[in-house]
Order: sequence, then structure tokens, then C-alpha cells
Amino acid sequence: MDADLAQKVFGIFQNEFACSRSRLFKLVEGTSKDDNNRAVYRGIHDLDGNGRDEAHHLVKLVDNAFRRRGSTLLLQSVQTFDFHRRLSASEYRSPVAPSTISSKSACGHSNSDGSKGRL
Amino acid sequence: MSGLDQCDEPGILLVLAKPTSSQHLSDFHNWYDTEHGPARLKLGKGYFSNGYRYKSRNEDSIWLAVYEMDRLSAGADPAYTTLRENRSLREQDMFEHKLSVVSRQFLQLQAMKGCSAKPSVRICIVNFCVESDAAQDVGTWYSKVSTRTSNA
Repeated sequence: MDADLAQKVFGIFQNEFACSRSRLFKLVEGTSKDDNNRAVYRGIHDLDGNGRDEAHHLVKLVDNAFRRRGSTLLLQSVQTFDFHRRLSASEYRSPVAPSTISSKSACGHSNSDGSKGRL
Repeated sequence: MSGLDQCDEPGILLVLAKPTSSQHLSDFHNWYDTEHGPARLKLGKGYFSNGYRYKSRNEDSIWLAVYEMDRLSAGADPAYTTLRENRSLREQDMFEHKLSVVSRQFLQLQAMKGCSAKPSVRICIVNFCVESDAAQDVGTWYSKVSTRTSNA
């Protein structure tokens, strides 16, 4: 029953975000903020690009509606992330002891925020 | 909630992490991109098929890693758990002094709409939980909301 409901809620977000791909996941194992025997879900939406922040407006509307229904369905949070990089097995380097690591020697180059620092 | 080792369905491992200081950011990236992440992808077929990193737009210094898995039960396999039990000195240093893990979750895929050949430049994660007691009531409410939004 809860899975069916989650699918419906997922549909609301999927339609409104106008994304290229939407995936709904259910927590199987791991840390969670909810310990009240609720089923925990994550909807992950691939946005097409910039300018989708208005989706947060809809999220607020839905959140308010959820709250009016009581605690049956609880919207915990909405988080937005920018792509950073794809991980690759071929980039594996044998670990070295921390005493031999320095941010300068290990990275050689870093951007102002430290991202994509390895040449 | 079923056990991870019993779940042979596809899913993802989702990890949110935060360097304890901006001074550790460069070390964090270097460690993650050349040791931690690649070590998981090196496990090969049946474990982690892809791994992507993202930066939060909502909170400073929160970094997300998403690993796609053909079967979630691989998260309970010794080949993977051994990686976590036998950390390198550098990895121990990261976890003990330079990094806090905000959350780490194995999530089973329930539904997918659309397709994506390459990683999206931006993703939005909606976190919610459901109580089954009044599901029908909320379902009725959903039908009204759905009608209204689709007509907007």
C-alpha cells in the first residue's frame, strides 16, 4: 500500500520537474532521519539544465498539502546537486600513507574550490 | 525493510559526505577520485556499474556520490565489505580527521521514467516517507492535486 502511494507522489514530482529521467528508490539499508516505521523513499530527477529551481515552488505547495493531511506522508527535504565528475576504475592509484600526502604534491593543481584538482 | 543480502534487485548506493574543513577539500577530492571511488568500480561486473559525484547547491561542502548497482545484495558481499574493513592509512586518516559521512544508503529501484545516456548536469532529490495507515485518504487527495496540476 505504501509503495503504491509513493508511486503516486513520485508521479507528481516527475510531471512537474520536466526532467529527462526520474527514478524512484526505496531505502533498503542505511542511515535515515525517519525511525517511525515509515517506508523511506528517494525520488531522483535528472534535470535538463539550469532554470529548474522554480520546481521548489511546487515542492513547497505539495509539502504544505502533505502537512495538512497529517503525518501520513512526510516530505523530508528537497536537495539539488550539480554534476562534478564521473568516477573511473582506471584512475585508481595505490594508497599512500597520510604522512606522505600534501594537498599540493598530491594534486598538483586545484581550482579555487578544490574541485577537479588532479591534472 | 528487507535485508540487503536478500535484495537482488537493481539500485544505488548513495553517500553524502562533508569535509570537516575547507583545508581538507583538495585531499578529499584526490582521495575520492583516485582511491575510494575507483576501488569500488574495480570490483567489476556485478558490483558497481557506474559512479558519479555531485556537489550540493543547497549546503556548502556537501558532496554526493551515487553508485549504480545491478543488484543491491552486492553491498553485502565480502569483496565489498572487505574494502570498508581494511582501509588504507590515508582512508583511515580521511574518516578520522578530515571527513564526516552525513548519510549512506542502499536504495532499491522502484520505478523509472525517461532515459538518460549521460549524467545530467543537475539532479534534484526529493526525500519523503510514507505511512500506510491512511494511504487511501492521501490517494484521494493526490487525484485532486494531479488533476489540478495537469490542467494548469
